[in-house]
Amino acid sequence: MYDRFAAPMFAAALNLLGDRELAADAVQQAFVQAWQAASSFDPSRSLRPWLYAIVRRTAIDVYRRERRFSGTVSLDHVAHESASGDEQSLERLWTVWCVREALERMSPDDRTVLYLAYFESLTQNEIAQRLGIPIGTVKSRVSRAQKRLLNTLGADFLTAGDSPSATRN
Amino acid sequence: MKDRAHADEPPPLDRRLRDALASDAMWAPPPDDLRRRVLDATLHAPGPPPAPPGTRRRRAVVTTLAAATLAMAAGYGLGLLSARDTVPGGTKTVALAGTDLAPRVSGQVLVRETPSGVEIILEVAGLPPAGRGRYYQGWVKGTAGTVTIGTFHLRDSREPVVLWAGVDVQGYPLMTITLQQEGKGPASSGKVVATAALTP
Repeated sequence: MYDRFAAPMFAAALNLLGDRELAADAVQQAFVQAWQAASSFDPSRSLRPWLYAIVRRTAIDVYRRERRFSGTVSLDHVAHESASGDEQSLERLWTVWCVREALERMSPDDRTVLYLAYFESLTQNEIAQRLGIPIGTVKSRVSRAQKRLLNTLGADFLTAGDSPSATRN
Repeated sequence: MKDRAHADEPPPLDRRLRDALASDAMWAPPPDDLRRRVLDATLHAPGPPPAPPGTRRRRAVVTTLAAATLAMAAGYGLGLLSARDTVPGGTKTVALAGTDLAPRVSGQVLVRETPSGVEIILEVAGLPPAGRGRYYQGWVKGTAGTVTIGTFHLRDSREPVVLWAGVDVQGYPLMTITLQQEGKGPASSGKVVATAALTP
């Protein structure tokens, strides 16, 4: 379970909290809560939204704990996102979960070109220089990686409004 | 991508995917010690409450989660289990001790019931790698006889050793490790280097 879900759980928590250590705390608590709540889990449902709801809740708990004990104000964006629970922020967080989960299933080559193209915002010429490969190869790799990302997301990638709602928490 | 406007370039992903891929959270790996922290926290937390009667599927989920937790334990060494001798899921740990042939041997043995047999995981210290042409062999022994649970050599790894018993260890309460020599046949050499009592 850790191997399959730790990365998307960490990504979701980090997206909410903006701090790696706090996100790790949230994931740790989420696994403990999942373990303790296992007998109440309905096996006819998917494990993913259940774990998603748990880690989102533990991330909010971590945020509240930090705010209470350390007076941290740098996490104010969390209060807005998590407390409001609006559809847009919920969908954004679920997207982070799904995409991260999909990336974990993809090859290192596919992940690399997506990272360079979308995280580092490199042009295809720059990617070609960085990787030392022809630009035509970059184009085909990016195209292939995007298709694989979409295919991997596939039916599992819920459309807007289908993401696990805050009420399930 | 800045130059994706060319006609022969791949179509752009939609905005929410682009935003997700551009976020720090998407690419940050979990901390290296997170798995160990999760395992430690889970093992020290109160276990799940028993499932209501008749909910076999839910019990199966509990068992699955327990198995997942224990699989993590197997991968990261049994030392983490020392704080609790028994964990949910029909699993327990017992001590492993060296004999006069290997007095420096110590360690723990995780015994886990699974649907396909009994998984026996050794975390052993002080046992040298078996030399060329030699190997170690595990056995369980009891009034019903002696059954081998597998062989290993420890030459390339100090990871826990995973052995399997196809018999109910309740009837074979003693586990032994012998030093064997290739070409000498399948019988025990009698050179016992470590033992563990699998049942009280």
